[in-house]
Amino acid sequence: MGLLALLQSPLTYMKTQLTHLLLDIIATGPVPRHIAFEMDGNRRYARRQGKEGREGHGDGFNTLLGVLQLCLRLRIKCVTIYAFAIENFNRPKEEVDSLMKLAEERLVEIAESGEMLDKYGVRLNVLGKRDLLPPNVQAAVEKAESMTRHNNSATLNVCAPYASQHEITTAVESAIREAIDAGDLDGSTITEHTLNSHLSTSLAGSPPLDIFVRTSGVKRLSGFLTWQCNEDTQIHMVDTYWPEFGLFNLVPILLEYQRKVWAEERKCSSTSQLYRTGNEKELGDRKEREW
Amino acid sequence: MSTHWALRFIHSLYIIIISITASIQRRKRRHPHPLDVQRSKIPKHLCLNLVASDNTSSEETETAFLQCLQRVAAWCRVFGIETLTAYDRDGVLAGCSERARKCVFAANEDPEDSCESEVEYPLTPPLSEPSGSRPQSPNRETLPVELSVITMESSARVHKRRNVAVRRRPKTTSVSTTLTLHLISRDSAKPAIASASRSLLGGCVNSVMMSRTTMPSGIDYSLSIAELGSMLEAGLPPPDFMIIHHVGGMKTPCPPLELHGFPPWQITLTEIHRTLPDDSREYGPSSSKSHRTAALISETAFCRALDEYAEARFRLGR
Repeated sequence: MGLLALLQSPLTYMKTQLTHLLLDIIATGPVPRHIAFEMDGNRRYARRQGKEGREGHGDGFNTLLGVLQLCLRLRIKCVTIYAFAIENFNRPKEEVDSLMKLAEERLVEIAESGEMLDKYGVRLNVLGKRDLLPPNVQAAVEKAESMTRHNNSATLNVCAPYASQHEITTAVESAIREAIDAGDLDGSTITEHTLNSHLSTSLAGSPPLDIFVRTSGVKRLSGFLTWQCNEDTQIHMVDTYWPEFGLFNLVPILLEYQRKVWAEERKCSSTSQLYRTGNEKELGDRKEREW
Repeated sequence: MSTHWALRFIHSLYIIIISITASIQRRKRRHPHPLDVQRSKIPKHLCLNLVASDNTSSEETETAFLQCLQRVAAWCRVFGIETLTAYDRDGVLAGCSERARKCVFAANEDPEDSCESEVEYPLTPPLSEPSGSRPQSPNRETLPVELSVITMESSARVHKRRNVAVRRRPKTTSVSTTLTLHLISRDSAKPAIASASRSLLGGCVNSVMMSRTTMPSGIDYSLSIAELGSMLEAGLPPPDFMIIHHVGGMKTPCPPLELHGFPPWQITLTEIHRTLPDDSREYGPSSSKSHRTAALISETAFCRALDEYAEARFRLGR
């Protein structure tokens, strides 16, 4: 057993160093500003292991810490995760209670141990209809947020309990109240940009969403960030269950983002070239296709 | 400099691996069930999200969109899918709604199929105005909302001839297939929600002004999900299933899918599928040598999409 640990130690060290090298190389290219994860498949993963479904959430949390560390190493400014849906309260009471207990323990753990969040300067925000949470969990949320409020290098948004339609409705309500208070009675100041600014992700200072990842092979958004991801966001529906998600799932996602950014830069560059060379016909055709 | 070359190497390796994987998947991919095979689950409301290409002209795009719409509408009738929403970001279909109406509701049966079924269509229905909605809010008045949805409906009685070996004269049965068509664009998405917001504000102001002579400050306004939902879904109900199709084709390896501005309210529980480039090998005519021909959605692609939908599991949060 001691020999195994001895052998594993340099292997683990080498694996860590190679991971850091790979991430550092990728980070020399374009890196997404904001990436969201819909962490699906914890229960199915646990059942496949012969465990109770709810036991999968602990494995899921460990995966979350690992993936978060990868994202922070890449200097991704904002990570948003879907921890609990408003509809998840329909689950069996035992499972909901177990999830709430896990949430309370982990929030406090994240905030108090502080190593990862403080090292990378991460501010923790919990977004959603918080008054649905039990009082002890609400207290843990407030504690975790206040302990990281001074951090401003990156943001971790934990959506719990959350639903896009609730977020959009709250944004509309808030925009209407603001218009009434400002005396704008015909609503001329209410545009899609106004509504966007009233979303919980915007209020938390999050940049536009570049990448949306859903695990476990499900091909739906299930009410997660539907406003934020409906345009200019790359959506990945990955077959892997969340507890198994890792570096080799994340790398292709990042490489695809870089390919998109470079393709857009080439397109902008060739449009500028057309302006400079006065190629009006080609420019006109391109504008006609775009508009 | 060395990290720049290292990144280029990683990308090159990635492309090679993805291309090999795609080639293997193509060989192993099963052919979908044919159109006439019954599926365990069929969407009641299907959405076709058509994506234009930079490499096709606007005329070719419009023609390709109309041809795709015509095909999908015909297949919807075969399956008994009651509602079809056709979305394209820039409103190409909404801009040629009269042609779309003729394509969908006045198409003739394919002569090769006439021995199998006869479809009688009623007079072509009138075009609806771009729809707004007046929500039913018992407590306050709201103004009409501009949802930018064009809706058309028609029903057709499909006579199916069933050939029975022992009888001389074949029996016929008839099935009614009503199809509702919605044409939408990006204007039906976030701008529609903004329009709904202005309408709600207007309604609130009117309600207060009717009971007072001046506008008081500090009104405590509240809005429920049900109220906003009833406004938005009155014009466009949520689709069960969305098929995204790129008429310009897609380069391999295929980029990740995007939603191209589809209405965010209605897409909450929509199952999403994108057609595969290999399944879309039917091309429309090209008017210009310099432009690539448009790739039309094929029957294979449609059947594969429905096979995937039939296998989807809905847990609804549980």
